[in-house]
Amino acid sequence: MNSNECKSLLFSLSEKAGIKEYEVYLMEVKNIAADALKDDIRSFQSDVLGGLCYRCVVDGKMGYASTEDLTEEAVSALVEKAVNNAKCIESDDKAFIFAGSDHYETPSPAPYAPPSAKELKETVLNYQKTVYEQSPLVADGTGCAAGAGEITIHLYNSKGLSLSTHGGYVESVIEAVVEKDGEKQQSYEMVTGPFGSFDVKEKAKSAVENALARIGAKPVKTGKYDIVFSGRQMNSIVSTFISAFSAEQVQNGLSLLKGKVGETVASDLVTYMDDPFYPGAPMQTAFDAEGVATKTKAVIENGVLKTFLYNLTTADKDNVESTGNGTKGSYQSPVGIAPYHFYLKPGDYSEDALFQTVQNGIYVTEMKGFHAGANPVTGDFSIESAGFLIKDGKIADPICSFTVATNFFDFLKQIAGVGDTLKWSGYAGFTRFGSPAVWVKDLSVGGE
Amino acid sequence: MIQKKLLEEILAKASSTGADFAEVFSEHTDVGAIEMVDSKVDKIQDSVLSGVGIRALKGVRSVFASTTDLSREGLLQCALQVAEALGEGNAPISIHLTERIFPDIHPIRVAPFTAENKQKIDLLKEGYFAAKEYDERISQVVGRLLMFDHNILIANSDGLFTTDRQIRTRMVINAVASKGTENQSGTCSPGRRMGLEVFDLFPPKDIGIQAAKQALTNLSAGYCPAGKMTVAIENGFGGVIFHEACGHSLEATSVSIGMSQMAGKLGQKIANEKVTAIDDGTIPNAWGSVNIDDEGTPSRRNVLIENGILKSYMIDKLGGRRMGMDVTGNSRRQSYAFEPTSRMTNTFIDNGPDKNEDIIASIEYGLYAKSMGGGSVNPVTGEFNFGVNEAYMIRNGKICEPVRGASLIGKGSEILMDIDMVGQNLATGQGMCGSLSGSIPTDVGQPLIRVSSITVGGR
Repeated sequence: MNSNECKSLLFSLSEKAGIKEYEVYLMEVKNIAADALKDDIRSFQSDVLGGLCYRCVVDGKMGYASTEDLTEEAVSALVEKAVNNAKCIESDDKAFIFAGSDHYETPSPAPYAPPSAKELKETVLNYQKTVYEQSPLVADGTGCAAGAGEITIHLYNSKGLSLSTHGGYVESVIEAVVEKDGEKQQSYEMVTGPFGSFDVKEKAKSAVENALARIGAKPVKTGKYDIVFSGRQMNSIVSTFISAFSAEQVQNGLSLLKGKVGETVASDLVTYMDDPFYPGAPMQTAFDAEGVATKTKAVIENGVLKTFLYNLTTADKDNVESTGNGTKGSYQSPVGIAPYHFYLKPGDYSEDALFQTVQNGIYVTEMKGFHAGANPVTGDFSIESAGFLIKDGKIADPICSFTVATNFFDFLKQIAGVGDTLKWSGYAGFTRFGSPAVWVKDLSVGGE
Repeated sequence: MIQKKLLEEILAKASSTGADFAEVFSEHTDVGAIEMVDSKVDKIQDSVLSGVGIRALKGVRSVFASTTDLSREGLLQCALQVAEALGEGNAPISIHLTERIFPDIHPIRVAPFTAENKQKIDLLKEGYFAAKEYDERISQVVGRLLMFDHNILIANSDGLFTTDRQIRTRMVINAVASKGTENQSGTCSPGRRMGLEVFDLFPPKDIGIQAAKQALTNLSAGYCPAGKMTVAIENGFGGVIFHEACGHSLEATSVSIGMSQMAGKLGQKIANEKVTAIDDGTIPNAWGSVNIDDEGTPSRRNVLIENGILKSYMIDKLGGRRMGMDVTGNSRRQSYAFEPTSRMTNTFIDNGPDKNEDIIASIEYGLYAKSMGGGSVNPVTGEFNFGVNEAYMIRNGKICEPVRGASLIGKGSEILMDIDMVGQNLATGQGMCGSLSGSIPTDVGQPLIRVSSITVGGR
């Protein structure tokens, strides 16, 4: 069945079952991607995935059921499943089917045109060729890739709400594996935006140079260091601890930011914005997973915590308005909480100026294993890192196999300088993180 | 399920532009999750995944497409897309499928999706409240009961047509202990390729208590010091060290394209002679077991390292083509939407010659890592890391005070040589392993081992 047929069927079954409040949420995802090995396409992938989530309120409790099988039989079964599930919910949280916001912004995303399979393959092979041209040390295993993804969402509910949104973006990964004296290193540049919107040679050169610079990396001595984190690494850190800003985690006692709104939680250099409509961004949505209008807000402003991120249920509990951050990781997920373009406002320092100011310390360009070495509930992290020594205000020798350990909530307060150029992460749904390079004082490094 | 005749048509269509192999993977999966927080059932997730992945190979080139549109038109369109992306032309191909039935070595007693919610909630509550009521410092508990009923069909242009049903059940209890403004957490999350009878094996109460105890231990712990140390890593999930430090580097995914530090080392000594490591997907009802892999190859026991010598890689069909080697029953995927590749099943270091008490007694100053978190690795450089959930300092051969916030990092090639004592209490732990073909259930395991020197990340 198509989306309209699914909607009609579920609406009529709900009415027949005497259910007053319900919602039908449909998501369709299309992906296309290719990657290269040596001078040929290694693999090519294309997906069309769609699913439907039905939820309804029974005696004040919310029940969910979802399916990718959109035959009449499978879709019809959802109502009974959701009702049964609702009956088992014990939480006193108020369940909402939303009637709609007074006003929805009109997003102006970057235009999206999915590449053809042919265009995609030619582009990837061109990336690959350009990388190999940069240096004779580029080794097999180098795998440039490109792809495009788009999401379409329809939300219909018993209160007459009928909303749709659509977004898509093209992504390129220009990777270099280099080999010198039997040692291999790897680096990549990622660009979100149409093919041809950037200088391929420049990105290839940068990937190759960065990989070569890491050859011969040595361990570093255990101790305390001033550290500059690249924007990309800051994004990894903040995305790991983002749940601390979720009102749901706060209310459940799983965030140490509980009770801290209005208080200083970070250095005064820190302003974190959450913007669903970041200018020029390809993925923008005017409504969240519950149909609430999205909006731009400061989450931390000059170090002061301004708000948590809310959906309808958590906002009701705190007696505030939803911030429009209700989200579904995928169509089948219950409504959770996530930001949109969540970014650290750039400061004054160019990267060189940051190194000049720090004089002696470490520049961290790689961090791995956040799912293991970091705990959003306690804030503790201890992460395997690699990068470069900063000596006399300049980037010096490559270093590797050390850990950086601290507590995230102390870390925010120790930020001593913020760079002037935003680096963005990739998208997960409508969520993306942005940060310039950041200087943090006096961190514990575990090495030799 | 898709009819045999239609499968033959799909495979013929996918092969029509010069493919030398085509495959259809169809899936119908029930996924259920019951979540408790604040002592109440908070969320119930109840989903049906349903879709098809079609793959065609020509030499070492692969094209893959997936769809949730299971109509005849949708499937043939998906196959056509694969064929067009692979090559040109329209060669008539005739395919005849013969059904193969492989024995089910993982008997299930209680299929979780046919049980009533109440029965499942009662089990979860038993684990939940065992943690919550263990100590008044336990400020919050999050409990989840996770259930999967994964039905797969595999058909390929070699004529294979087979199915399998994989049921898995797991309980995850996360406990938080609080003191002033500090939170510490503890976790316990056993699972098996079983139905609800898994809780006869793991009484939920024990799961809850173990999570609570760990949170309380960490609440009284100071920060772990940083630097190089001798470390004793306990059994069970401690096996994540082998999984990260070596396992991923033995997958054809990285070996076949020369991106692994283990490439070209078959028959060479890559580990201390006390190390024998095995990947075995045939352990009855183990979390990472499969009757057949996701290409339809029967699972088997592969000795990866024997007394320090590299004996075998883990190889899928495409990786095998690149390496000129046979498949090993290790091809796996999260779902129809992922192209399969070589992955681990149940991977562990086997029991060794050392007595556990001798291992602890041998360490003058070091760390006893009792419970490990997850980890990751870069197979190109072999650099790996993993988190420690519960650890204690060792002084003069005795286990002393607890420490928290530690991680362990190193290089795979070095650590394997540095595993210089191997104990005798082999046990496994359950994990979800993420890689190219998605997130899949895998077991890790080992007895207590000693690593002579490893970098401990602390402060």
